[in-house]
Amino acid sequence: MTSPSAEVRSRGDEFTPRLATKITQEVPNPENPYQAQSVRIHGYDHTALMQGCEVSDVIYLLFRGELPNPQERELFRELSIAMINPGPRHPASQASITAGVGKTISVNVLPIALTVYGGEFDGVANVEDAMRLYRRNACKPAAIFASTIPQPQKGDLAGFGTLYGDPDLYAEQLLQQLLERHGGQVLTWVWDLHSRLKPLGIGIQKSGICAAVLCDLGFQPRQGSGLMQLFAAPGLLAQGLEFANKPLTSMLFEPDENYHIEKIEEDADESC
Amino acid sequence: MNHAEWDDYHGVIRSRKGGWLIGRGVNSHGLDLMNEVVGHCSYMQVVMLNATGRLPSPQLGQWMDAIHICLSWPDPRIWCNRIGALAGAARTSPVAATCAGVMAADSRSYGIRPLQEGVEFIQRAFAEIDTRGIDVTEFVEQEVRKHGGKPYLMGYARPIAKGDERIGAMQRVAHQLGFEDGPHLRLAYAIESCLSNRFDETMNINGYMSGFLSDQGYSPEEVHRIFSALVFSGVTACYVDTVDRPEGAFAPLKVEDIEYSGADSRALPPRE
Repeated sequence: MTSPSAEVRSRGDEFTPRLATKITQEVPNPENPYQAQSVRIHGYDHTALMQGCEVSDVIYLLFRGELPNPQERELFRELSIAMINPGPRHPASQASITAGVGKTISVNVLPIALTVYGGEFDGVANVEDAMRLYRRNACKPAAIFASTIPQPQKGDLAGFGTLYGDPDLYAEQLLQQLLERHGGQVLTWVWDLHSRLKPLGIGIQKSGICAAVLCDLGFQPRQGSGLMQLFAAPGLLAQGLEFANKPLTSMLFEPDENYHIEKIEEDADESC
Repeated sequence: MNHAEWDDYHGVIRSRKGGWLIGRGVNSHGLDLMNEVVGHCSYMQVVMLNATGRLPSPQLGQWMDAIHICLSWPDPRIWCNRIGALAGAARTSPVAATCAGVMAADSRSYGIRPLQEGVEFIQRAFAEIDTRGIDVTEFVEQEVRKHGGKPYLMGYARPIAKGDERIGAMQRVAHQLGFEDGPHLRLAYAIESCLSNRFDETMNINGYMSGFLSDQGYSPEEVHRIFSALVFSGVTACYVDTVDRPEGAFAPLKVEDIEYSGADSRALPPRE
């Protein structure tokens, strides 16, 4: 039987002949059109930004299109430090350390760590969903919102959950500190929701804090996960490179007696 | 004005490999992919074709299939696999996990770079012994001296354990496929004999592969390209194992599991 799929035809889609961006303006070097003579970021001269701004200001500028005002600057700076170091026990740090001690080439260590940090467990995977959820619902009281969610689904709220079985109490501290210093509509709403869910054994996660602050600062949901990865990158990289000059034996390698191949053991039990 | 060469590439893509011409089919290295390759060649033959531009024999494709089984197995204590397992525990996608593990094996200690160095080593050894007329024992002495008297020749000795069960399996496969030991592989065995007598160290799978692939006419750089994803399958397996268990449940660490050896607690300096 002949399928019509055998005849392959172009759809004739029209692709743009030029890339368009609102972020970066380069002025070509008259000597070489592949090099830039000057660069502007959202209109600001790049070399002037080097002299007059903190790195967190320029990150803010890149994504929001404007430099932050003093209140925004401080909140964004504090958020970036709140997320800067997931710590040596985090799976992403463990991956970074494993890459470092395994003598993976240095340029691969950070991408590996950030890839693992892209997961749902204490990672960034839910930041985008959390931002969408908070933007949709923070206009109504947290008490009403909480009452509309069936009990079994409360643990599935983006940015909320548990860490090793319990609410993440360190995340709670970070949230409280940010709230006390800055307020913010979504941050306040998230704290209220956290307080209502905590008796049920569910609490704010770091991804939820990041999502709430980014909402208050006007960032788009699609920007959230990558920004949280960016914030955590220094800690993840430092943790891995700390091990880059250490021998393989400085990383865990569980001995055979602590390594159980379950299926074989089950088969062995069955044969008995 | 040295940019004229780049003008030749501006606005056009040049390929020596092939491509998809809509309605006219897919070309790979001069072959009609759907009519001359699909169903006629193994996937591993095509992997080698894409990496080197040369289509190997079906027997060498089968050898490649077998060696990939030897090079990637599902033990999460192996560094690249550990990263896959951590990614599963962190709830990344299988693609992210597998790619992170593959990137980890771009390592100076294990994975692909020692293999490239192994091929360089045996080809240099062959050239030196052939051109300078020194005997194998003298060459080994010279190489051991370079490593401070230790038998750290690329392709010999092995982390964690002595001996290598994979060599016997691949010798059997090579014999079944009709391959005879060539001059590089025979030299590799002679070097192993010297190291075994003096240091109780043997060839590892890297040394065997390096000799075999050199006899097949592959350069170190070609070997790096052919085997760029050599560990992917074991990484995926380790990801699957942990993603099907509770989140964060791969080798979780308690706070007290980490030994801190840094600076004592101290106050921040006053801000300027």
